Amino acid sequence: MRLLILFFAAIFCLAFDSSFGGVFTLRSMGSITPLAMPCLVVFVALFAPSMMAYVAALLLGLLVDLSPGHGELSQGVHLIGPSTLGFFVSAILIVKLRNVVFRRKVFTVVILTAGCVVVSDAVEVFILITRSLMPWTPPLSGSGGIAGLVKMLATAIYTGLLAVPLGWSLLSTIGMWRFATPTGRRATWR
Amino acid sequence: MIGIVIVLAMFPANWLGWTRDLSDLIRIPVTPISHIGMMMTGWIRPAAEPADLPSDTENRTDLAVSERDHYRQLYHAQMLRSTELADQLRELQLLPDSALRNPNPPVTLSIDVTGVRPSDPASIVELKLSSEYIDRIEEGDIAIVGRDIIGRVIRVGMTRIEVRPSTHKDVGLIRAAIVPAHPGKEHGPPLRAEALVRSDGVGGLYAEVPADSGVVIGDLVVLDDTSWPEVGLGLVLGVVIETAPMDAAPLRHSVLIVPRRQARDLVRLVVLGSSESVE
Repeated sequence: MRLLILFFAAIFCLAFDSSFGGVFTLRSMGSITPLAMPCLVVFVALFAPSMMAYVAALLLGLLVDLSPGHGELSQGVHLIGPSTLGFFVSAILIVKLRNVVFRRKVFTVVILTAGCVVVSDAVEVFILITRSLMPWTPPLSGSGGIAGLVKMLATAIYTGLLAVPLGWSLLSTIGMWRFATPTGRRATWR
Repeated sequence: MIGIVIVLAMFPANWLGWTRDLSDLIRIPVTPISHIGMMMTGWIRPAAEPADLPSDTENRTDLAVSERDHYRQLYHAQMLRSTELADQLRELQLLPDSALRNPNPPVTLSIDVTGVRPSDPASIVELKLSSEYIDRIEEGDIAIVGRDIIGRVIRVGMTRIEVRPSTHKDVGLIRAAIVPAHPGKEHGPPLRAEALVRSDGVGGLYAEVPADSGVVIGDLVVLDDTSWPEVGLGLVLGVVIETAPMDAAPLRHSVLIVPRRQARDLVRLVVLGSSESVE
């Protein structure tokens, strides 16, 4: 896999999620905004060698955790972990699944991207709850659990919709990525 | 590696100060694209102007006429005042330079937004850092748009400035005054109530006021907190959108407030820099 291409794609997705993704924000529906980074994670996890996919998911998650508005603690400190581990777990699941799906179909990218948002958000919630159990961190406060769940599901669906053009663009450029082509009589990409 | 990440996720916040610098470094390649993206966003979806005008056409006309007369009076008064000040200025210009220096004048710095989290109106906002104003901004300075407070600078990093919106959950209590939106037009006292305002956790603010204060929907909530920079006193924190009696305290009403301007809708903010400029 060409790391330079991954680098530029990651920068684009980060910039999208922290700036012009706001163009697509549904302001009247609780500020639901689609995300570009899960689509990239899914794409890489679908085609890259498994170890490379895991490392890439970790690094992409780290970049998201260090973005403005993510993993905020006091005084601008960022919490490393929620997206890093969320994307990593998503990558594990996608690598397990990728042999039984049609990888080159946009629909596959769409479904897996929506799933990636759900899984990474679930991991994030798990980490925040675990973190709140530590004696040095204040307990979690706040309400709106159902509203938060609905917002997460809506974000997953909206991100899936964004994955239609984005996934198509990524699949169109698959030659540039130089993923290792599987060899063997039965090991063909579907 | 996974174990390290899990351990990092459990670290106390005061052990993670280095993540700010790491984030600064990582944002270096992202910021130019993000900056262009924010400008495109502002062009495609400009921020809606605050709609605190009456919806009825006749009321709007009456309000416009009364405001026109009011501003005409103010204009004439200001003309007289400016003539008077011009005379004073001519006298002051005869004084030596040292006598004219203000020890710490606020400087208004218009700065581009380079990063937000659009899905969370109360999240940290990232501003472009430039050598033009790096020495003029300090932590705690106020970021505004027009008369509306957006938040306060919490950090001036190596590559960016971070602003925490006033609706962020970590801001704490803010002392504020609730005043009518159109003082000349509406009945009642010019000051409805003084209140301690705090974040409601979902992008708005919450306060409690006495039940007889007369706070109504549309009233403005203005900053009246001496722990904030003096230049921010009187600027608008938000507008009242809901008042309701409290079951737990029958003599008090709960008040929900939303900011008139959200950082995510803006391309540029004005920071009232309090630091002395470097000559």
